[in-house]
Amino acid sequence: MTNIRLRDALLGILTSLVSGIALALLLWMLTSIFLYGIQPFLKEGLAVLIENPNLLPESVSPRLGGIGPMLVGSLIVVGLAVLIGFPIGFFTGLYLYEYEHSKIASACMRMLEILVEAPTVCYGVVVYFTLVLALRRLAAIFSSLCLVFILVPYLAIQVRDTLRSLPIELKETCYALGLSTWKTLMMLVRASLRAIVANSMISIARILGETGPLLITAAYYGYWGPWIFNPLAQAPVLTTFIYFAATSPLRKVQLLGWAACLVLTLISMGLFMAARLIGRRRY
Amino acid sequence: MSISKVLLTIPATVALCLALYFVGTLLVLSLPSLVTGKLFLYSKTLPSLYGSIIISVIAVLIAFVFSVSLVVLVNEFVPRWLGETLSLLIDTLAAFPTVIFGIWGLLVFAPYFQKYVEVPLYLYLGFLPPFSYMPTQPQSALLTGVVLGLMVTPYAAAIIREAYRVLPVELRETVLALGGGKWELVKICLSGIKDAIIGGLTLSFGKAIGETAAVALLIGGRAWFCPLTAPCEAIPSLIVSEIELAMIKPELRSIISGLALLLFVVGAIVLAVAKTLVKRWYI
Repeated sequence: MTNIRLRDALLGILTSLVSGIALALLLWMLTSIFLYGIQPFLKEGLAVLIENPNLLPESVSPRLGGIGPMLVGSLIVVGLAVLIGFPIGFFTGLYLYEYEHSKIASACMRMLEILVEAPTVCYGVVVYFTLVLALRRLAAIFSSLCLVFILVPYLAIQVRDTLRSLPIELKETCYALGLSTWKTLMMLVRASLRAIVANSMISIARILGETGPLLITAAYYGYWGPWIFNPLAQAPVLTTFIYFAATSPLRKVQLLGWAACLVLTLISMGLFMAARLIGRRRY
Repeated sequence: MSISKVLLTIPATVALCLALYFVGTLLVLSLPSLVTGKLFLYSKTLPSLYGSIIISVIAVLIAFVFSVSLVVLVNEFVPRWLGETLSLLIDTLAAFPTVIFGIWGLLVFAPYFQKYVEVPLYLYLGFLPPFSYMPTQPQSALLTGVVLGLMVTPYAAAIIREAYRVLPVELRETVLALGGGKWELVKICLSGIKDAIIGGLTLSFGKAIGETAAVALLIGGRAWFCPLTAPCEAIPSLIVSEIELAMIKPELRSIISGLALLLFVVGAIVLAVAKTLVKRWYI
């Protein structure tokens, strides 16, 4: 008996030790985001969310500026991607659920399953060679297109799986009552609305934090200008600005990068927590 | 053919076309370099492939140790509320923006890692080939692997935990009734979800090998068959750094597409393997 106790204790100590290292490193990262990211806000207040970044060396101009253009750029790029990708992904999901056995559905399903785990930088390569080089311009809409490639497969598969997890009796009842296919589908969507909304929010958080393809198509930093009204102009986004700040030798630019990290973390964690609250089933 | 079917076929066809456009472009563009063998003759291809594999293998090894111990800790050794909190943290970090791991790894973690891990490795184990490079700069293959491992740990842990959770409760009861302790329980539970562990780690490998932003920040960008503690190059970061050159060097276009295709094929294989192993719990 003591032998068992001893081994159990050893196992407990070992797992806590190893997990402790992992958790300590992860928490170290989270606290660094907070500690460094809060500094620009303490120095210059909420203007950091609005102003242009100030990339001049500290000796010339001590003000930090802000990440306003990048924040708006991210919202534009992600907004356009959701506008284009959400209807395609959602209705494809419905199609995959309802007409599972049709030829298009099985081909579509196979392709989307491959795409959902594909390295995202590949989308950047395809968009760069077919659109950017052909049209000789970098545009916000191309960045959005890269994100559409990520959004559509994810959303379609999620919607299909969510509908599939509903009891089959619900669908049978709808058909037995003589409802049309369309009305039945809407009925089923309404029944699983919470899960679908939650999954959509998680997918938005996912594309908001996406960097790989945007390093190829989006600007690394930018200033306020007419580009915010023109989807055919290049837009800077938060994630590429973080990349730019990490490679910058200037301490103040790095601090702005941390501020961008903090904003991105808060948005994506907020979306995630909200999704978790909404997605929790109520019985 | 009902009207709803016609209407729903449109988005499904669009999604299918998007996927075909992606795969088709990659294939057509990379065909010249594949046929002539230029893809592999290009001086940076094989070293980057080597670098990509090295860092992903390090990442998976680290993720294996960390994620299994985290799952065991969360399920067996801590009170319920703490387990729930840790699970929430793991889930949130599983879809965390990867570029943040990059900036943290480069600006916060790398100096400590260089001073306390790489330099001692060089000083005491420098006679071994993997550690024979004097770590004079913070970026290295080992650092990239460790940060990537930390990055995919929550992802792998989330998949393994899902499998652990659905193990039949009778299994636990049997082990405990036979007089087994936690040690036996954990051993039997882990061997019961062996498939899910391997599948989760395969998916983590796919995620690590396709990761762009964090790798581009941490790896150092020198394509050679390097020791572990030296700056190195990986395929995604090579794509990002060379793609601008394709504007002026048309012969690079086919090579870069070929690199992207290589990544895509690796991703597809990873998914095919993982799907047979974690079918019941994932996607």
